[in-house]
Amino acid sequence: MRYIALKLLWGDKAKFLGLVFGIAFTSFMITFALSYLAGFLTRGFALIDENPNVDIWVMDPSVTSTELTTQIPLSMMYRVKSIEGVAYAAPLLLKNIDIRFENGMFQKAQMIAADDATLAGVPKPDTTRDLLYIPNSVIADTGGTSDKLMTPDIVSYDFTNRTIDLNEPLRRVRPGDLMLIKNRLIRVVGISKTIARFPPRILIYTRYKTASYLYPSIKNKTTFILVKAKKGANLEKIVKKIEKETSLRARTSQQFKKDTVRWYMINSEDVGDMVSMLLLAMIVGFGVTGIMMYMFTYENLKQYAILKAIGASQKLLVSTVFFQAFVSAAISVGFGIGFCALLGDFLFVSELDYPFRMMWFAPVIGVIGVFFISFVVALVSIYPVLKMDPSIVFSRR
Amino acid sequence: MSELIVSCKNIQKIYGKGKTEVCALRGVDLQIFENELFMIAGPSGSGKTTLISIISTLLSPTGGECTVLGNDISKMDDSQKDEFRLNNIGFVFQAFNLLPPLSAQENVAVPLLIQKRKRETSLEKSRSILKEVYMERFHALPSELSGGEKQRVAIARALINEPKLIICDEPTSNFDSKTGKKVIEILKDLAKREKSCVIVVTHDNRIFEYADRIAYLEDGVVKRVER
Repeated sequence: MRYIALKLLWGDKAKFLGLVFGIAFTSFMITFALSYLAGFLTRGFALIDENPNVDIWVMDPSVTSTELTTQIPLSMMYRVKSIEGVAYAAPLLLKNIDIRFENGMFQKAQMIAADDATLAGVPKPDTTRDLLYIPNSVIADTGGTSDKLMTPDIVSYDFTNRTIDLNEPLRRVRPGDLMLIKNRLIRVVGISKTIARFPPRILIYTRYKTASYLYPSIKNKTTFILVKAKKGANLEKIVKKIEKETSLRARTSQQFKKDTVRWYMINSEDVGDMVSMLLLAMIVGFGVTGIMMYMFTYENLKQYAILKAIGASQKLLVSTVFFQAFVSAAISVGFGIGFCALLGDFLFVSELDYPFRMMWFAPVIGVIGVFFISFVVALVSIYPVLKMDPSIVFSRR
Repeated sequence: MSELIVSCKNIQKIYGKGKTEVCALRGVDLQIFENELFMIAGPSGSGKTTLISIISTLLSPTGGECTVLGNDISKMDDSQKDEFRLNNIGFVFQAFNLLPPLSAQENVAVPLLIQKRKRETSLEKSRSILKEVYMERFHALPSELSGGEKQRVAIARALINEPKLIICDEPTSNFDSKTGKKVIEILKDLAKREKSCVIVVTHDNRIFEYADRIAYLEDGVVKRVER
């Protein structure tokens, strides 16, 4: 009977393709929305990801993410260094700043100041990190923004006597360019391309010394203490020791990522928007798949009536409709998720800075979602089959 | 003496309720036997289709008693009726009612596939039945067949599970007299050979000569039965 079910399913190619398209679209939408959400959330912990050598992050007890931070005394770093199992510790300071370009325009940015000695936390630029040892130098990064890290095309090195011209041609900032931070002239010595941030923001990497020169108020303060554990040391034990001896919050990188994701889930309005998008995808999926499946069953009612007249039981007809829904879902979900993966690959290859990351749960939830939708839709579609009068086989049409 | 296949006693059928009530059968009495080609004739709206729907267990009568192959159909539940039809009744419809996506041999094999027989043996049997009705385009889809070929496929499908009762609804009305007679000859031959009973509902007086008996139905009652 499965053979007949498949033949009936594939027999009307237009309807079958419509059904496959509807379900594939649904699985694509669900998987895409989840991958988009995952892309945003992983960008949320980009700071942790771009410091793979760091085992433990130490911070103020009130800090639960990389997004909303406050500062702790730098002296705590020396106490952390003295804890058993810690190989080294370095400060990492975050500060939201304004940068001013030569045309007088401002942009918001996040300054990330790293340990003077090790430059731990500074990504590799297109030049070299050592150029940060030049006084008042920074490495700039778009941080996922588009057309924000731009400077006038003609460099005049004259910030004071320029008038603002909004129509002045702009180009991307490059090594050698100057900008103003806190009314001090700063030179860009390199451009890095790290993981884009969520929300996107310009990133300005510099040394701790430069940062405290620009912002004296943050002198002797840090946002995080980055800890590298000794080889073979138990991270959990070190975390507990740090928390016990410093009263600060200490988290392994994995724990801190989870904390950050949780923080975004609770606090970010964007996550709510994306969940709405996911729900919309499910509703559209229900609508499209439901209509297609119901139409498919309804328009083939005569065929089910013929089977019923010949002697197919109610149970057999129900299992036929469910089998057809299952097969349609299985084929379509492959197309939908496959297309989503291809799109993700295209976005990656094309270097479009798009927050897309297909993690394991996206296709899994996509598959479960589509099969759930197909099951519910089959349940609805079965109604006319159960209610049909098999004596319609004697009708003249 | 021939075995009694269908026995209808005072069969009544009323559709709808109250003001929309329509009485389709008003007490039909009939007896149909093995090896018989039995025709039911009558004008449109006389209740022919309702009667064969009841005999074929697709409809339940409002009143009366209908026994088919010794089984009182009013005492059967839906699943028993399904199984009864599958094993004992073959259908030939005016509109052929072949499943469009299936080839001729697959259409014929449908009753066996519903019985969960193996596909290969079912298709093999379907090919041999198709040969018996002079139809050899096994792989052709219904859309590729002529009306006569479609009807032969429908007859083969009705015969494949060797039913004791074959119900035909206007099997010749779409054909010229030559093709129509050929179709009815096949059915008559099968009725005799397979010891089945063939009930034919028809308007077509060109084929009356082939009937063993003809019942004339009018306004939901049998007016007369002729030999």
